[in-house]
Amino acid sequence: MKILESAAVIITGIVFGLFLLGVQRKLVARVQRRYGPPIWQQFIDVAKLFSKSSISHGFVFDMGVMMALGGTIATLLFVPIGKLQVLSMSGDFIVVVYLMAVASLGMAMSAVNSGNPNASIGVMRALTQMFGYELPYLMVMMGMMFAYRTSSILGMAQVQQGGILNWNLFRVPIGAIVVFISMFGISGKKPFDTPIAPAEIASGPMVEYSGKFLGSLTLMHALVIFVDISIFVNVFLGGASNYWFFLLKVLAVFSLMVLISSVIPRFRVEQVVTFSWKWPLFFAVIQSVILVAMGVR
Amino acid sequence: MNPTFMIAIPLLTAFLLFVLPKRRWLNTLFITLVALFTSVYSIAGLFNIEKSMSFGMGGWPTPFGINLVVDNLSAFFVMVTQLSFLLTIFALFGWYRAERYSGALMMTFLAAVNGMILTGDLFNLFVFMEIASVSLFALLNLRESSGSLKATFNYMVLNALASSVYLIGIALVYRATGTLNMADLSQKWGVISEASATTVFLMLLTPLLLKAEIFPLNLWAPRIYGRSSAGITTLLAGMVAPAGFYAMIRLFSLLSSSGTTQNSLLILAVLTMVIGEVVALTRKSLREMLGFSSVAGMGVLLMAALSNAMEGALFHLFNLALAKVVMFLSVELLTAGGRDDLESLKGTYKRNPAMAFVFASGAFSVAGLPLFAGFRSKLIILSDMMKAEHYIITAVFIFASIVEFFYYTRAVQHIFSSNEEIAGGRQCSHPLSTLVLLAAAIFIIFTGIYPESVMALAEKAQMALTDVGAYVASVLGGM
Amino acid sequence: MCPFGTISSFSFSLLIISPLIYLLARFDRRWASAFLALASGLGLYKLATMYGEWGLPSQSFEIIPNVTISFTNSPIQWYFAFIGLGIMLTIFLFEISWLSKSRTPSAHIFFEAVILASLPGFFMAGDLMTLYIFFELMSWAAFFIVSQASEKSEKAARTFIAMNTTGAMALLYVLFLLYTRFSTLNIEELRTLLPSAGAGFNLIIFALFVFSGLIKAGSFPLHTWLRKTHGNAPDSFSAVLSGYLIKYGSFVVAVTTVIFPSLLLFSNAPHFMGLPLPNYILAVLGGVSIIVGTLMAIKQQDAKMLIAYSSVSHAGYIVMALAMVSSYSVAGGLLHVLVHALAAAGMFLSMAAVKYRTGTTNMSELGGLVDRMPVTFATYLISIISTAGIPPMVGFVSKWLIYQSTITGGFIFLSFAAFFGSIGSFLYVFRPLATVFFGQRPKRLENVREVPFIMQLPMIIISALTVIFGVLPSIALKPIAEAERYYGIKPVSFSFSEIRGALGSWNSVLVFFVFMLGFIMAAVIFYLARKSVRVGLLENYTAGEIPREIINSPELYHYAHNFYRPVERLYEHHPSLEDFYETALGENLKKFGVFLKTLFYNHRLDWYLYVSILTILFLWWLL
Repeated sequence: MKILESAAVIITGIVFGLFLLGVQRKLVARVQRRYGPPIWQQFIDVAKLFSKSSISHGFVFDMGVMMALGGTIATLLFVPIGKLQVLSMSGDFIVVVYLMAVASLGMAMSAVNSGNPNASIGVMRALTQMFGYELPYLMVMMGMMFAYRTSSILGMAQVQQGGILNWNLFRVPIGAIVVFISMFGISGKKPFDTPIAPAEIASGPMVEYSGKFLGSLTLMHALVIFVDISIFVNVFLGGASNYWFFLLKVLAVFSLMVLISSVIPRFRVEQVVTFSWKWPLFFAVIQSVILVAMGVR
Repeated sequence: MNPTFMIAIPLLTAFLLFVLPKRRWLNTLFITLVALFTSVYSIAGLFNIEKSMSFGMGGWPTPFGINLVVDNLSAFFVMVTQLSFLLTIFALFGWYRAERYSGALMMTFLAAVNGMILTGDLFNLFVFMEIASVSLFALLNLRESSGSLKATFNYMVLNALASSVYLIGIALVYRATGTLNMADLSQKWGVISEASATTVFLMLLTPLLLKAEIFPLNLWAPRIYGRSSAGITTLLAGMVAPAGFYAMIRLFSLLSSSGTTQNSLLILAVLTMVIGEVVALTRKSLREMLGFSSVAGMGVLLMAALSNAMEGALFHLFNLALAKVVMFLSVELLTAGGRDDLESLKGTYKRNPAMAFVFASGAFSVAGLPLFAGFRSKLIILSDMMKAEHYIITAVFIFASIVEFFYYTRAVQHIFSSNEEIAGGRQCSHPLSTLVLLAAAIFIIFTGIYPESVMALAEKAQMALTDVGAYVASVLGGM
Repeated sequence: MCPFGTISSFSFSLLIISPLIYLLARFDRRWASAFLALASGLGLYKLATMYGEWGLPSQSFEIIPNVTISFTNSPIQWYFAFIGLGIMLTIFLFEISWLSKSRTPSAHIFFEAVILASLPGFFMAGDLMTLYIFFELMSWAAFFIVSQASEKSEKAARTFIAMNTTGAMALLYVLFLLYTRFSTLNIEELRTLLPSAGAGFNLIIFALFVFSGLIKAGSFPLHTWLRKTHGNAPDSFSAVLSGYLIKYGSFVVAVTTVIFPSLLLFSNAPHFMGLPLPNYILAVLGGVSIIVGTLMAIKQQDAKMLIAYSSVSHAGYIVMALAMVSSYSVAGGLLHVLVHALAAAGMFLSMAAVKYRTGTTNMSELGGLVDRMPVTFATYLISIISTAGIPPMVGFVSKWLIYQSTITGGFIFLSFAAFFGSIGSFLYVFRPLATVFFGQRPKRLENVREVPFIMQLPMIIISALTVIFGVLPSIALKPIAEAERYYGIKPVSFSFSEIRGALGSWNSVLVFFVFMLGFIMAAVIFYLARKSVRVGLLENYTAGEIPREIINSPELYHYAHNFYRPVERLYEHHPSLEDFYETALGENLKKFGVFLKTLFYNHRLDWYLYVSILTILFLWWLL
């Protein structure tokens, strides 16, 4: 039973993730007054990438990519997707955040092992950026975990049942906005796409990837976005008891993110940190103080 | 034990050495024999004392004549000074070229220091102090180095001034009480009015404070330590300073003094300690550093003595004297009388590993590292001082200890530095010196682990100090 | 048979035969190191057999009336001692080969023997005097070992001993305060007697203990000696310093907060969020230490100094966790002792291995060593994963436990500091990985080989332990829970693979399993696709150009220098506490000394007279 559920979750993740990436391309195109590629373009891309040959720079290069994709798949299994709750009882929010870190570490390792300094610079920027956006995110979550006395994502989702106004979006609005901003960072969307920065550092960590490597990383990227937004939906938008409702919410949030990021330029690397630590962190702390002092309204 | 031998025999030898032809081997032979004799005699005597005994000199009845008193306290101090002397003699054995009159001078010095400790008469104390000082003036300059003459001159002048003050004090005492015998004086002290008693007491203490290197009467000391040959300054640190300290605490116990006097002396002691340590930190020359540290150590002793930690102070005196002597001697042998600034000391352990080890053990003993003797005595002082609730002074003591630990460790670090190559290979010192100093160093470590025997001696000495009645009884009561 | 005969005899016999070990080392250093490894192993075995025999009195020797040297066994002491002996065992194994590059191998081994002797003596101390004596012995031995490395290290060692002695003397002072008040220094007795003293007295005791503990543990604000000392020490000894010797300080903090019931002692003090104010202030200091350590580590250019600052950060975690004295935080703090011991030892040993083969630890001069030194790389990787607190290594478990406390306690600043340290550590631990092991390899390092097997063995052991404890933390949590129970704290609840916290629970075996599953799935996808072509390090995307220089000197194409410049720029002009201590305290003390000398000891006779007269007048005025 669990195996079926796991498979379902993974497939959902991959398929829906790639679907989301396709939606992104379509939406950006529309904003830029073009037609854009078809929505299933990402599937074609991934298939193409896996069919091509590639170069490798060493054992760690290979292993890092596997670690990245594997870690993300593992993380996915801990997030409740509507009624599919594979391992939600055995791992909590903290576990999920750190498992994602394993994945990023894997990718960082393999990127830097290529020997291309652009990759090193890109990873440096990615880590710096992580330093920036994670702090407000974790501070808000700290407040939430204190208020709800639980760090289980499923637990937080279940508390919000019983009507739209129960959603944390309305009960903890400042926190929701801060986490929403942090999600841009985690997904690497503008203005936080400094690590990739195509024009500056030749795609940063991605510079040496080709063929199956790039394919795996695209899958990983899709999964990361999916996991990330799923967490947001579960914690702030009440999760969903229905699988399709859940995916709908994810789509809605994602579309909003894409629309916002399509019109913003990217940050310089030091601006990432100063921006994240100014207002978002400030509001995150305010939110936590409110939550600690008064509990959830 | 008959204390007259401790004074008479060295004195006789001194005169003998004046008369005999000035041969180096003759000098060395006599000095070594006498030193050995007095040391053995003092140690044997020390373990055989049941009560204090007084020996009148020249047939004069006390309290009119001069007497020598032997009790646990004076025997303890005599032992300390003899051991320092013995170590010095052996350590300088093949190294110090005996100058023409050095043998005789050393003998008079020994006799005088013994006299200072054993005497029971104030004027006699003065006489012996002067003899000791004059011998020392000459000894300090036998090996003339830059500035030793000037430093000795400073010492001479200050010593003369202090002694003059002392003489005036004695005169006043004699005028008021009619006696100069210490035991008798303790009975008659109350005759002197309260106000003048303090003044007179301080006047009597002045040269003792100078000898015991207490601020502000220690301004001469560091220069001497720094400029003169370390072989002789050991005599200063290991014999004169303890003797001065002995006389001070003896007078303290025999003559009552006001609380104000005690407090002011306590403040002076603390000042000595702090100023000594802080300045020692800045010194680049090892001998000067040791000199300031020695000064500070005397401050610690006086501070402990005045803060109800007399037993600890006595034990610490033993450890300090031993350690200082050992350190000065090993520095002398390590640097072969040459430059001793910290930079040039780097890596000298390769030159003479035994002496380096000896220096290290002395340094760590003073610094108070566990496993070395100084640690045990410091612990006792600390615990007694805290019991007497002198919290702030203890904190200052701890601060001074930190500074002390630091510069001693720095010095040892430089000596054992393996990052420098030094010119010249091994230069081992005379085997006898090495042997004796190594034995002393090992004794320091041994006392650090099993201090019981020395502690027992210190305890007996402390009891003898406080037992004024026995002292007086021995002098006046019987003959 | 009294089981303590073994601990005291272990310590004392090692001390006594240490000169013989010195001689043995002069004869053949490998045997000496192997002998000490054997001795640590024996100690470990003996200690393991003593597990469970808590609180037995031991033979004691009296030093001053009513104060003895005594040893005892309690879970927390057993735990610290066991980890310590384990770390020493790995170090001695490592040194069997490493000593060939040391300039003073015999002296090094001699002093390390003293440290090994001091280890069980310190942790198994039954009374504070024993604690002090072995603390001093250890500092002194460490001082000499650090001095031997180089010219720079001598100066660093002096800073170390100055600060350390200050801490030790503070400990001595508080020891005597306690002795005067209670006439005993036995830790168990003091534990029961302390609540009877007033809050003011307890506060002074607490402050002094904390002062001494923080200096040794290398926590803010007394952490400034760590960088130069650990950075300049002989390489394998840096592992001992960071891995174990700073835990002596953590132990002192543990004594103050956990063993002496600080919550009880300060129950009448003002509380903040349910924690007495002294404890909270201590926790805040720990938190600041985390932040400062992290920021300073990001700045460093030398790998060893970077790891030294990471030790500052982790010391902050331990102090913060212990100060909170709650079920999860104490468990997390104690577990973090193990985590950091393994991680610091792993990182320093791998850097020592790198230096052994390449002669430097300056990150800009290295690169691309992953192919040449795979075992070293793996050790380093596993250690940094643990340091950053990423599952499935043991570092994650301790962080998770600490988070339970900071979050449920509602401590905003402490949670912030904990998060900050965790995320920030990703930055600085990644840097040596990227600059030393990855990237372009300089031509002169082309023929570097892996270190000999006997040096690889301890690294492998440490990595294996990190993974094992990460997957099955219950093994390590058992003595920790025992320790908590012993001191009246609710023990952390766990089963074979699941850890239950206040906010939720997670299953370590399951997490590891799922991770492996994901990894295998990814691997399957990977290998099913077309095979890739292996290319060399220099075959890179260079936008069409091939600069001639990089072919001859690949290190020009290696991004290593000033790796985190954008972040550093943000806090470039920070006040330096290191400088403050050195100038404000060190230099000014020296200047004061010189001033005193010129004032008093200037060898002018007339001046002497003036001084004497002035002193007399001063005293007369004073009294």
